[in-house]
Amino acid sequence: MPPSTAATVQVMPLRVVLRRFTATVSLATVVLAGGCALLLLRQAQVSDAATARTLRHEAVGVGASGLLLTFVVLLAVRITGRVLLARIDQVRDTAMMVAQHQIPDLIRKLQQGHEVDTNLLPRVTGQRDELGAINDALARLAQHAADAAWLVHKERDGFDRFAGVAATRSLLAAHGALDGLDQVQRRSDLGVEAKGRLAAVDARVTLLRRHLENLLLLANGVIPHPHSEPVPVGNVMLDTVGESGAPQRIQLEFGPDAWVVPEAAGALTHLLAELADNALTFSHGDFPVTLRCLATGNGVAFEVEDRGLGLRDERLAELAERLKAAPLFAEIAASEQMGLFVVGRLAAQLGLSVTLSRSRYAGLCVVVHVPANLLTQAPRAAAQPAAASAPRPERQPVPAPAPREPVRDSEPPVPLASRRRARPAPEPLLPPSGASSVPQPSTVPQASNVPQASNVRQSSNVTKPSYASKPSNAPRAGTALTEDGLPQRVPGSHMATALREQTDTPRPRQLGFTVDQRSAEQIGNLFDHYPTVEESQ
Amino acid sequence: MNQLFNTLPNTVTTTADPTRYDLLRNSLQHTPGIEALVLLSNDGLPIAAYGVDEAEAQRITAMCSGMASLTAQMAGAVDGAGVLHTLVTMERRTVVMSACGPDSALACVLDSRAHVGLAMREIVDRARSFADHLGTLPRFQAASH
Repeated sequence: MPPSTAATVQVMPLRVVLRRFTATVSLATVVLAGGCALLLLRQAQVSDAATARTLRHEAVGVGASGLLLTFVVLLAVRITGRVLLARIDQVRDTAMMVAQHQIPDLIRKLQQGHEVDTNLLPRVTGQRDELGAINDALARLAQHAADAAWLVHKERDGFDRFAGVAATRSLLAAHGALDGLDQVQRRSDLGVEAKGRLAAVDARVTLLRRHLENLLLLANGVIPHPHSEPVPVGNVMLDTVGESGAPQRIQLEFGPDAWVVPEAAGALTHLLAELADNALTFSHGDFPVTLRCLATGNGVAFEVEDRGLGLRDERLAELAERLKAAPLFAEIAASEQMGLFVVGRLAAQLGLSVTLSRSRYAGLCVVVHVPANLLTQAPRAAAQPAAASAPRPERQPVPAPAPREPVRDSEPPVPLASRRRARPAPEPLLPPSGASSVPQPSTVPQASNVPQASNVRQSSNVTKPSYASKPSNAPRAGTALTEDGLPQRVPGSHMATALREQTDTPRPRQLGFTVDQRSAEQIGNLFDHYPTVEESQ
Repeated sequence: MNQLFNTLPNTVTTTADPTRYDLLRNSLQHTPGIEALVLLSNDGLPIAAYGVDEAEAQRITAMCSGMASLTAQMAGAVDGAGVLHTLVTMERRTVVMSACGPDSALACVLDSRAHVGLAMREIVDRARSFADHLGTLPRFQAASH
């Protein structure tokens, strides 16, 4: 509001001013006319009859014309006031609506990337009078404001696209670098030191890839998904560890046996890696960050918990805000860390809910709930029991040797989205039957290690297919070799051929017990009076 | 009831997921007088054992196999068709053997003072609930897992 020069003057509405002015003028006219008439009448009393009559006539005339004049003035003021006030009100209403609703709504919508309709803004009418000019000025102002907001939106959109293209190109380059590194890492003639250095470079490039994906996400893009098959949640967790900045500090607690749809797996991994990195950054270097997976009523939940310093409530609320709205670049730039913005964007894309809360150890605990529509059944080929629930914790960044199609140099460029890459992700946990299987360490995390009622059902689901699985031809001892050419023991291969191979002879049915078809109650009743030792003695 | 029972470890290492046998043990803890249980395959190998050490489990398994073979002969001799349960009642212990899942049998060692009817009810009921998960795979399948 511009500073008022007459701050002491009471500003009153035009309507009231006009009304008072009219009343004053009318009163003055009436008083004047009445006074004149009275004066004439008094003169008439003191003069002779003829003059008195004339004077009385004049008094009546003066009084009547005074009343008429008052009436005319009242009428004129009233009509003018009506017309003027109506137009002023109209201009005022338009101005209020534009300033309070239309322009703010328009700017907000443009910021969120929605379409806007500028037809509702006031238009230039071309009226010549003062109020018409004010109206036109208002219309032009509104148009300029809308244009400015649109320009900002176009700029932002253009920057989004520019950043998206730049990020995609860089991402392609990073993927190429990772592929190249991968091939080099698979060579057998490397020394330990060279391998270690390559692994370090690999970790750096992976980090680079993640930052580029962040850029792509914040530029309103969608990150490529590297998987084409459903991914077990255990693998998602391992990928998360591989992508995070300090893999050795992340403690994993494996949970239920669930599979994430391939389209969501990459994004989910990225989201968890961001959260894990956040937790790693804000907790002391000696403390681990726990990443656990739990079954919930509708889907699964991932929990990232750190033992950091924790946050004040208002800061927590502020961070929770970041997860909700699409941020402006100014907001992203203002905060030194953009991880939570990325998390918010990914959560919105996938339809996840991310909740921040104080952890039990005073740090931060983030719960990511993955709804059931992002989960799927295990692929048929991988529906084997033991390993399905037993992801192998693999900490070394070099992937274990596993069957992988050789990458030729003359390979045609593959679109980014269809590239299979989960780095430095553990290779598929379930080696296809007949392939060289890696011995499982004894500390295999089991689905049912987590004491939870629902796991009973979970693990039973896991074990069921084992009866239906078709016989696999287990290789004989010594046929499986590691990449260094060393023989690798294959579990079960030590058994005699007769035990190992399927024979056509049916197993004798009379061996063992026959299943009693009666109910447990009936069987119990049969033995109810079975003598116990005390009774017989 | 035997609360200690559900903390006893499985003394027989099997290739498959050992925790599923713990479920059987936990649910059998309310069986009156239960002291030990051995889950065995019908071809005479112990799968899981609680309350006995591995050597004992091996011996119990071997003897159960022998008895199963004997009782099968008996069934043939008297035209009894399949053998449903075998009870061996001794002065201090009672052993109950029953089917438990495809190609597996369950042997439970009970205190002889316990109520056998109740024990049978529990054992049969539990064995039936977990039957699908406690069966023995054919060896050629088990080998690949």
